[in-house]
Amino acid sequence: MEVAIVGLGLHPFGRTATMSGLEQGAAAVRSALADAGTDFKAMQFAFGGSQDSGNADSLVNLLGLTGLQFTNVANGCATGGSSLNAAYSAIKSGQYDVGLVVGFDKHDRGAFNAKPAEWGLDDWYGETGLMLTTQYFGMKIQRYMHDYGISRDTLIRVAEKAFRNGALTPTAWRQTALSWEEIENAPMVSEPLNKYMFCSPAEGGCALVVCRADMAHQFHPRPIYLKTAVVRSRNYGSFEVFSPSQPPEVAASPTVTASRAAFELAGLGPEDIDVAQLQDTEVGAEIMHMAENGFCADGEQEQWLADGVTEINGRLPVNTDGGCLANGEPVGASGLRQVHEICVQLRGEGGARQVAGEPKVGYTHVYGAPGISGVNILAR
Amino acid sequence: MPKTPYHTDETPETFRPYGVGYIELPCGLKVESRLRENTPESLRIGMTMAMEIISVRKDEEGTDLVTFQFCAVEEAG
Repeated sequence: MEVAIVGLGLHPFGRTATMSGLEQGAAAVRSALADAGTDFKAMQFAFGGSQDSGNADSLVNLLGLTGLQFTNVANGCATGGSSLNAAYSAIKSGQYDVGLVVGFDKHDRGAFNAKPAEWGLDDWYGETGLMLTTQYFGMKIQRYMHDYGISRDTLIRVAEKAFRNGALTPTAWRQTALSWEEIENAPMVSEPLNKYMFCSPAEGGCALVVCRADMAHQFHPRPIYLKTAVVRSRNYGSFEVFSPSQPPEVAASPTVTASRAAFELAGLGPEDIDVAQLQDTEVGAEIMHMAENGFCADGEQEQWLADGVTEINGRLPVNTDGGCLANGEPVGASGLRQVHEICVQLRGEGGARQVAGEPKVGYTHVYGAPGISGVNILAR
Repeated sequence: MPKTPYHTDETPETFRPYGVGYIELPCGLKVESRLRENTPESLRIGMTMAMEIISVRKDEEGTDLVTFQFCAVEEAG
């Protein structure tokens, strides 16, 4: 049995001072249910999560005490991907017909205050100043630029594209395009990545109604089919955030293993993808993830960005809604925003940012600490 | 100055920015470390580095807590 996504709901990312994270999650669920033309009573199960805004199953207080199975998911940046993966299995197995996936969050300003003990590390690692994600991302792209000849111009091009796409997206947090000079001269955060090259922790909610494919048209005239949902953790030797050491043999990242598994399960290849969302918590991540997900060879990104291949009107549009860079990252919701945007594009509802040529197959990729990746392949 | 869990005796006035990098040991193992050098101009991938011990803070009993960091080595001309 195939799995369909028949309801899309988003509470806009950014800052909503008047609403808790949980309330933003509930708002996303209500709009997903309305989009599917159904109500909460019809939901047989839910998988959901948030990092900083409490237990997702508390949503029943706001949505209805219907007695449904509601499972909380906590998987860092891959929370949304893992929730969708669980829903996919629940329907695929025949256990349930229709249910809900939801993620929400509300983070403080500034870098996450990651606690070493929660990541299996000793306190000294954080106390001496190594527990900062920005440092890892800076070092990873620094080395990649050195090894594969990626220039600073390419970093700027990715940021330019993100804010340009954000300006076309009514639900984006950052809706103002930035000039080359504004990006180039922004304050440095972790060399070579500056302020406009990083996404920021934010607030927001996202929800999806999923069901058996043979029921999909009861809910929505243009269902999007979830061809595969894969989550992978790291292998020994892959270079990951929060790593006090790195063994001599370097292994492929969990993004590479998740991507390969997803393409194999879907019976598709990178050349079949019409529109993609690649985790862009900073510009270097988008660049490296283009290669890790199999879309180009290491180093080809330099030419791809110069040629506009990943622009909305390019051969492989990437992060058409401005991605994490323009939407910010409410951790629990972020992976689902990616799926939401791909569904919008495949339905042809992208408005000013709609990819031309009626895209048929889309791809989402999320990456997070301490080395997890989630990949979804979607088709109409 | 970094937010918590950063915990040293520094104040925003005395905080000195630090570099971070992976140091490849002769056996091939790479160790993540603070670097004394704190500007991109003073660092280069592949340069020779040496370890030193630096003070972090005093604990409740007044014991000096230390950690390691690496710094650039003058390369013979």
